[in-house]
Amino acid sequence: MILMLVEDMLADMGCTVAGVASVEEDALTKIATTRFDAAILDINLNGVRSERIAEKLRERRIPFVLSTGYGASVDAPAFRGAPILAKPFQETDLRAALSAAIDADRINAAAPSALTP
Amino acid sequence: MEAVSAPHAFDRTPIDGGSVPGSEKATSVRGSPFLAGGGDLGALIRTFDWAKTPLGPIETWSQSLRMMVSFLLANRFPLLLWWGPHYISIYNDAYRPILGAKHPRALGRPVSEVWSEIWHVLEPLIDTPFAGGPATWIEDFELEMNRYGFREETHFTVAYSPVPDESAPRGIGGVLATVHEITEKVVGERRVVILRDLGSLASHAKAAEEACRMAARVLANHAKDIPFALLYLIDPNGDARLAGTAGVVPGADVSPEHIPAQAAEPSWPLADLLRDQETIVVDELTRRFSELPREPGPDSVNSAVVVPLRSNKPGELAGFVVAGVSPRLRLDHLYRSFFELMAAQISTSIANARAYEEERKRAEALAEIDRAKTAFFSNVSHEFRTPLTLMLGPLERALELPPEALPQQRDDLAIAHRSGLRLLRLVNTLLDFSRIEAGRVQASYTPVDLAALTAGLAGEFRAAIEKAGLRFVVECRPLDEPAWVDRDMWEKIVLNLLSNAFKFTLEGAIAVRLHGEEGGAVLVVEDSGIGIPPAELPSIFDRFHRVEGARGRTHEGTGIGLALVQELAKLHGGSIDVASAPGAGSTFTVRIPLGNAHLPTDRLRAESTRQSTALGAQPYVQEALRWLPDMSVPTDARADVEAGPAPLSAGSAERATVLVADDNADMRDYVARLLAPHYEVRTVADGTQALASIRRQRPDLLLSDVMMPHLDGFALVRAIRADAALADLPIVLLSARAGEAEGIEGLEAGADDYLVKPFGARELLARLSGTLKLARLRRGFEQRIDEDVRAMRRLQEVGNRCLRAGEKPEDCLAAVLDAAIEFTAADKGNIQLLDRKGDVFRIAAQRGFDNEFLTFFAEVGHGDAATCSAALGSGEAVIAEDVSESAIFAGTPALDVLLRSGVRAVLSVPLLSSAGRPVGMISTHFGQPHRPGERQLRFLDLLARQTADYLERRQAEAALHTRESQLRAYVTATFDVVYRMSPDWRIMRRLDGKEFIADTLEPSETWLSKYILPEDQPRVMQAIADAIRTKGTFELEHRVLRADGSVGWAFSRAIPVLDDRGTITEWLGAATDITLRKQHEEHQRLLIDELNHRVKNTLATIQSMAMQTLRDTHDVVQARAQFVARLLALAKAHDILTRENWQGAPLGELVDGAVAAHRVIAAKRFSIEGPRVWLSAKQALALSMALHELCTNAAKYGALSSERGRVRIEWSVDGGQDGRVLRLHWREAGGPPVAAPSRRGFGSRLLERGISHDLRGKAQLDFASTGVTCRIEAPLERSVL
Repeated sequence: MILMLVEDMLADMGCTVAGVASVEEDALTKIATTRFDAAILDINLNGVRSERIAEKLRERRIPFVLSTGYGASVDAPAFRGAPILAKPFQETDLRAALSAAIDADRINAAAPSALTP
Repeated sequence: MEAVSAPHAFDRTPIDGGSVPGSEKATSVRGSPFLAGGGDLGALIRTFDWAKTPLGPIETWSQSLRMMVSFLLANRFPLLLWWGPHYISIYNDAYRPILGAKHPRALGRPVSEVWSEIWHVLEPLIDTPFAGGPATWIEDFELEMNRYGFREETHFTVAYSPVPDESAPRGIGGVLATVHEITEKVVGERRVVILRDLGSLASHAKAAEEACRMAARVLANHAKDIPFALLYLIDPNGDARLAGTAGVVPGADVSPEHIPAQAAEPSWPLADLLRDQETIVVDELTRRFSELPREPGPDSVNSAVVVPLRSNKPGELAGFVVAGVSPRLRLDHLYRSFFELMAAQISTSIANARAYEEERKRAEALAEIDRAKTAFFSNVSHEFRTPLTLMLGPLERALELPPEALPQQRDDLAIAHRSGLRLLRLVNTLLDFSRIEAGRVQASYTPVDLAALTAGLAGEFRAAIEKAGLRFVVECRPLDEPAWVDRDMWEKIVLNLLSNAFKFTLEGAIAVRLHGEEGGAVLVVEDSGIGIPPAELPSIFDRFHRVEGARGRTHEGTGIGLALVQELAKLHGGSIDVASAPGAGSTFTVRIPLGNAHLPTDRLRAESTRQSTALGAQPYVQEALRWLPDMSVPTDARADVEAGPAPLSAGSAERATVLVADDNADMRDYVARLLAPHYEVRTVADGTQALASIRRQRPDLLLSDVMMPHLDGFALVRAIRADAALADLPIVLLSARAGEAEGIEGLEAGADDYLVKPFGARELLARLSGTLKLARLRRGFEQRIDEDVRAMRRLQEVGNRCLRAGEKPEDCLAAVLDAAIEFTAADKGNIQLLDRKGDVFRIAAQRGFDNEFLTFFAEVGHGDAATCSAALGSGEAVIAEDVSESAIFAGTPALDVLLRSGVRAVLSVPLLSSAGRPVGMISTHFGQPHRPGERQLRFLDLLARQTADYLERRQAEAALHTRESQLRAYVTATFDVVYRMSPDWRIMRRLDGKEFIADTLEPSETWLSKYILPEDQPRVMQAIADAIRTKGTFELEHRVLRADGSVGWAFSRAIPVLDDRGTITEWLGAATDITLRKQHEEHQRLLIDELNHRVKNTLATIQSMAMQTLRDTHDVVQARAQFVARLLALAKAHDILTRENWQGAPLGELVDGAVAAHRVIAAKRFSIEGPRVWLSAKQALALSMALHELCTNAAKYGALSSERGRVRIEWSVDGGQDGRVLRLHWREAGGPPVAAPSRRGFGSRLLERGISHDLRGKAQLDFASTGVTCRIEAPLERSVL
């Protein structure tokens, strides 16, 4: 149901939803097989914390936004630095979080490439 | 004796005299009662601003420091405490004199600053104990201190001990210095040596100038005390002439050779000295003179003393000594008196030398007189003979008359005749001597039958000898030829020898033998008499020599008989020898050559021109007979004693006792007679006897021969020096062997002086007198210091014993009592303790009392007849010098008990607590009326203070023990963890873990890592630091490591225990196990988080529902109804989930819930069938919402919109490849015909998208005309129960 809401919001923002996953296994497969620019990740995926997915996303340098109902307390290293989208949220919140994630990734990505010979 | 009946207060004046009246009773200042009292320093420490020192304000001082300072201030010994890593100085009154002008600046300053000049020496000695090393102890530690504005030579015996302090790093808070200044002793001993060296010269010098030179040589070896010295002798006209120098050359501006009496500006104040005859101190030498010695240090000598050298003529000075004053020593009364003693020794030396000079002059004069006398005797004797002959002739003729012719006067005439003959014989002997002396002997040698002549002369004596009970042997063998002799002279030889033998032979035999030998005749006169001491033999033939003390028939004698015999033998070309031993008789042997070749020819058969002096044997025999007991008047056999010079020390009131050890009885007697006029003399025959005699009763001086049987002189000296009780006995050794090496050996063995035989009486007396004087001087120094050191050691021993853990109180008190008895030289003693209420004394330790006393004085209260109750009243020592005179006991039964117990004097000293409250009493008792000395009282006072401290501490410990027991009971009773921490929490003293955490039963410094997780330690330590800083309660919830390694939670709370000064002494804490509560709290937090998560998800779901519902709507009323219905469906699903704790929900119930609203109106139109399936919460919600949409659609357009329409809901679970799969089939039938909707609404999208996402399955919605059908397929989650 919430997914539907996000899909609708993304569609309204002009984004294309490359895929959805409601369990970790699905998500990992989709990250490996699908091309996309950003991800929206719920911290709690069917009762499982989505740290492994976040790690994978970081590995692949895909910016992501964390969505959570737990307030703002996110302390796992894999989640660090990602913009947080506290449920329930408005479209503007989603937009701001996504741009923050994409911007931060750009800055981070620039630094190591500059240092690489 | 005056009886003291009033209480007698101690003299509490500190040694340096700088007391503040009433300072002992000073009250507490600034809330520091522990410093009450403590003399001037106590007051100073109280007012001192400690906050400006690294030690901080007094209130923050550690327990250990406060205890040490109390101890220090209560002590009368010089004590100094260096506290903390800076060694901040704190000291007591007794230490003040050692600091000199550094007091009071030294208080609270680091030692490196206070003693900067000796810091390089002190530093390692203090560092060692402070760093945990052993205590340092140094005897005779020489330090160059600057405490009176100059670099001073000082000597100390010091002990530096570490002082434990729990609050300090490494456990040592500081270093306690126990200091005993022995500068006086060391310097005093050195000076005694100088005086001894000067004394040993006293009899050696033969002229005053020589005495000065010798003294100067001695002084030159002792630059430490006498950097330079000038010795001047004063002429009869008052001019001074330099006679010796030490440390400077003669003739410099400081040492002019000649100072005229009338000099206008003399180098040294001669005129003042002659006028006042007193020591003069001359300062500012560096201004007056160009060259001054710098010995013994870098500083110039700047002062000198000018000390008169007195002569033995009253009011006249022999000269004076100028002695430089060492810049490193204070010119105190000891130094001054040393200079005066030095001058006295030199004066004696000069006086002796002058006496010697005078004696020599006298001897020369005597020799001249002797020559004149000989001539006179020669003339006079000759002149005497004529009238004597004229007297004797008529007397003999009268006596030859028939007895009846002179009936009355015959006896008188006989006496006159005998006396005349004796007088004639004496005159003749004198004349013979005079002649021999003057070389005017005219012998007449004729050949005689010497055997017959000798036997005839001997025969004349037989009657007298046999009458005396002696055997008489005459063996005269005829010689081969006549011997050339002067008959008269031979007669004198034989008669004199016989007379001599008779005189000294009291029993046995006398023999006269004559025989020939190769070319000569030998006359032997042998006796079994008393013999002659070996020492006398060499001089036995000297004129006028007499063996002193010889036990003969008479003391009469001129001492010229044997001398004459020798001269007569010589006139015959012969000789005389003697062989003798005391008690073994004597043998005189005269040898003369035969023939006449050796004789002057003009005297052979010469006619004598002179009158014969030969009188025949009769006068000798007559005289000898009168020595026999029945014929003689008893004579006084006491030998005259040679009177030596008066001993140098005339001032001694009581005669010193000298023990003489010599194996030679004659020598012993000789020395004993010499000493008898001046000393009490005891004699022994060898070293073993000497040692026994000394141990029995100690003499003032031992005069011992070196060569003795059994134990020789050196061994005797070593034995005495090795015996602590006798080690300081003055000893003078005597030896016959002259030699430097032996003298050194004697002195090395420990003798004080050494004399070589033969020695003169004068020298012996001078040496003994000097040695005794020095010994007295030395004893004065040593006795005082040694006694103090001994007493101090004893005090420390007792104090240490009382401090030692595990010592029984009764043993400690017994040790205190023994020390008290020793300090006061008492016979008995006891210690009483005041009972709790403070009104009854009970005996806690006693020595020497019987049951009667102990019973009578078992309990003594206020007002009882006892010194202790008197002392209790006054708070001060009470002395009953004589109990029978004392008002305390007058007329009481206590007096009788005391007297029966042998007590005549009592001394009681109260034991006062630091608050001045009496806790007990030390009393010592004396068998005779007695007044204790000031020193004894002082040490007893110290002992009493120390003991009071001990008792007070013991009481405090007992109280602590009680408190601990109570605490332990509480600790055992509670379930909580209980712990005790050191004031700084560094050490955990104990922790009872109560099966929650592990116990800590011994003090531990590793508790932090044992109980607290590393990541929690900073937080815990911060809380502890805050609690220590504020002295407030420590309170914290923290995790703890349990013994099995698991982590629990504790609520810990600790309170500081403060002493009466507000210092933390320890922390008492308790900790509750709150692990369960913490787990609950954690759980709760998780739940709330979860709730938050779910609510937010639900809200997001509702948000989504709202968006979807309103997305395409045109009919607001319809949209509102749709939204509410969806919301209710969601709520229903939540109800079911909540019922199941959100673990999930059974599908059947979900379906029932979803259709419930429609069942109300169409209960029988639903057909629901399927097995029991458990769905996850998410699946349950998704499926509930899907069913709700299907129902809503059916009710509006489908089967439920008509009365006959039916809905069939069926589901099944199949085992698929990927696990179980749920298949649910919704079928509508009997409703109006269905047309596919023109546009897909929310319901369709939810079904198709929501199901596929939320259920991970798929939903297929079919709008068949007969009725809507929907197939839902979803895998069942494996994790779902």
